[in-house]
Amino acid sequence: MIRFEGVSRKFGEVLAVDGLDLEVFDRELCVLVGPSGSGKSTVLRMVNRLVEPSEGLVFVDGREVGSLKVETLRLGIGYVIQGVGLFPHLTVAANVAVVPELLGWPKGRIARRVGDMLELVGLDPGRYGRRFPFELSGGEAQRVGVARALASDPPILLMDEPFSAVDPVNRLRLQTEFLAIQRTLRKTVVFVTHDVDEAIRLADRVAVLKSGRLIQYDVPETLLERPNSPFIADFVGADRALKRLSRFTVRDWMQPTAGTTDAAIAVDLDASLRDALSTMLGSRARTIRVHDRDHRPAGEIGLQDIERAAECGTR
Amino acid sequence: MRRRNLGPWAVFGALSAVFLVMTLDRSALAAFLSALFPREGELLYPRASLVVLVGEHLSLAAISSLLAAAVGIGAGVLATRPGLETFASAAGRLAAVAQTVPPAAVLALAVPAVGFGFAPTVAALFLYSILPIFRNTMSGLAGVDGEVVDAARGLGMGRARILRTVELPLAAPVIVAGLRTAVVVNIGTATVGATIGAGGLGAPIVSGLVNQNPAYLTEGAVAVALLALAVDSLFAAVGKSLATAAPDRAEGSI
Ligand SMILES: Nc1ncnc2c1ncn2[C@@H]1O[C@H](COP(=O)(O)OP(=O)(O)OP(=O)(O)O)[C@@H](O)[C@H]1O
Ligand SMILES: [Mg+2]
Repeated sequence: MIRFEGVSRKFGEVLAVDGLDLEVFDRELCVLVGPSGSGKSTVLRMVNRLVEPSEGLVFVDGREVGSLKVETLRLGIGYVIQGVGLFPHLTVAANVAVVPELLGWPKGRIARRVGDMLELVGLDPGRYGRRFPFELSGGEAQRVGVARALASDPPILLMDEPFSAVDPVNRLRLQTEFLAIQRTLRKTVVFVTHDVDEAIRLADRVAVLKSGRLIQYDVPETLLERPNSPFIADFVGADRALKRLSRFTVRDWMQPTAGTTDAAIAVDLDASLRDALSTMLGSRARTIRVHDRDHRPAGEIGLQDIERAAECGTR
Repeated sequence: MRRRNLGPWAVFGALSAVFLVMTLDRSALAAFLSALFPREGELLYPRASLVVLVGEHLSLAAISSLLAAAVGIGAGVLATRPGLETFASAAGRLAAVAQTVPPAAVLALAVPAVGFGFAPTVAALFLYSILPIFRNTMSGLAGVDGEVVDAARGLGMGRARILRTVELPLAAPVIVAGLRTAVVVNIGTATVGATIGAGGLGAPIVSGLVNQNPAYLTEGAVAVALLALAVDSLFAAVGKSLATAAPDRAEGSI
């Protein structure tokens, strides 16, 4: 668990973080969201002491981070950096192996772990392990960044706009995959983004920052339904109902029986209900086909399923 | 997967083969010189064989370059550590001053201080070659992507480890380019040492000038030139393979 108590950080005259009190709960995915320059990265980097607070205290598992040896603290925290930051002179496998090697794991265990991690993020170890970072696409590099952060199985994961460098389609896929990984691993995650849609889609809890101050900290449903200020209402936007739908996946609300729907109009199992609704509106169909990754039919989903989800509280 | 470019190594091999034949095969060298200077009675420099001269010359250049590398790389590393910016500018100015002093002047000043021979020559070459090494180490390290270093820190690497496993390998091509300049210049400049009795390939050149024997002069000058070219091509090959071992996107993608 991570706790900020009265934390401020000044850079010269700029007050980047202003009197922050925040508790990130165990095994939750907390998203820090806010406009550019609102202090998100600074908050994140105070957890692993890449930035030291000017005032106040930060605790990880009840221990003040300043009291720990900085390398020890960091080895227990996975870190995915805004610009990926892969080591350009090391292969993909060597990049993923960095932290286990720092921890002195035996060679065999490291090799197995690297393979497992690459598979976890959807990269074939045989094909990608010996490549260099410059031989990867943006999305592949982001995946390697996530694999590297998870390699030593740290209980805490800090992610600074990890999916910002990829196109919208790939970003959606990375989000979906990451949600699936998080459902099984259940890490305590602090995730920074300036994209409200991404925040609503991924978060167990959202912290909205503005000019270094925490404006609202709530589960996404509450944030959408009861914004505590005009700023938040404005920030989450007028399409709140649609944003809520983005938290539900087709998989959870579809009907497994395939009727007589047109096979040409279909959504992916892992698509969100928002995407499903959009497809329906676009094709003027009230019920559409659902298929899996390999384009095999998996069932169908109708407008009434989406209404059911919209009325229901949480996912 | 990665194709190795052998071209630079072939150039190095060819140059060193020519150089070795010249130094080891005295009769071939004599034949070459007599073809150039058919009316010269004495063809080969009599006081020492080329092997000995090359040995002396290489130790002058190697010792001075090693010292300069240790000081230049060390200072370059220090100058790029956070909080040592004042040291960086002071060291930069000092090294620039050392560079502007001509080696002959250093020799003239060093002789009264440490006497004739080997030591003052090494001192002069050392001073002369710090700057390119220092400057390239600094710019190589400064050119390492800040995000990569940030990631290394965030993952839990200590400062020394980041320097050793991330910064220096990524800066290596630029540092090696600085070493190349320094070593090649030192090989050329080491000939000056013969004027104060340090030996080396400058000896037949000086003797050729004094005795008006163009064959001696050619023997020394051609050997220095070939040695410098061979060492230069060695550095080119090493630099090339370092650059492919640490590729960046700009080089890698076409
Ligand atoms: N090392 C630094 N030196 C000086 N100012 C800094 C430093 N780091 C951050 N700041 C300033 O602090 C403020 C908050 O920066 P921060 O990087 O935390 O914002 P952010 O919310 O992550 O923004 P973005 O979405 O653009 O990444 C900004 O005004 C920034 O200019
Ligand atoms: Mg940021």
